[in-house]
Amino acid sequence: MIRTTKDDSTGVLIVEPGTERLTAANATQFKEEVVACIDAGENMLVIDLSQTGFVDSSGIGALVGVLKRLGSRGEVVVCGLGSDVRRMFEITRMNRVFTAHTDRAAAVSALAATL
Amino acid sequence: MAPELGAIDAVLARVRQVAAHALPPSRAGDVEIALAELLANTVRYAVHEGVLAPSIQIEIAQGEDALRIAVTDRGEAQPSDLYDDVPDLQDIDPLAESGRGVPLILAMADRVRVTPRPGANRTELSFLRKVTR
Repeated sequence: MIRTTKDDSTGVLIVEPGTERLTAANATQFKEEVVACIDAGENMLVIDLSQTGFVDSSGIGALVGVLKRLGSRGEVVVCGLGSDVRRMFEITRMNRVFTAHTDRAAAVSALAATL
Repeated sequence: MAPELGAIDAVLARVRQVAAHALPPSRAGDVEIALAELLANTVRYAVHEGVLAPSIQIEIAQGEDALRIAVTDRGEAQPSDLYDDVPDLQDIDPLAESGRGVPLILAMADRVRVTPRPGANRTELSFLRKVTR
């Protein structure tokens, strides 16, 4: 499901959900796959939602689950939020939980700056 | 609709098309958010005697004042207080991994009317044509 790309210069892992809709139908799988990356040692993550047009409450829960699994061991940010996803983030106050960047380049740069 | 989470997106795509014509543009997204949550909850809980209800019925009615969408499942009677004392979205722990579904339904729909009945639970969401929010 997820697609990952490692930015070798910074060590940041870019994660794409690999689905246009992150919902109850696939949120558990998404979370498990990202958590597996974290358990394998990844600790700087960008969740690229530019190809994901809709996120429901299960998708939000999965993102929160990823954030909690990472805890204080690292950072996770999001990027590429379209209008519907951005609205869902605002409604559920995820805009206060996750730092959102316009695109993956900006997200990677921001994470690299924290190293 | 088959009682499967994977069946929800196709329903939402069709309903969103109807909503785009029936409601102001700003409200079509409300319909999708609320119905996504309602259908997901229905699939999860529409169980009768340990067996998933065989189908979920979705009705759409375009009234003069509102778009109404009713979801009926054939599971056991759902709790009559399912939509009572629901926390506001603003009061939910931002780090909670669940518990946002019903609050989202209530936040997006103008009215939620529930008729709990074994074998025929019916939840009707109404979305006013006139923008009031």
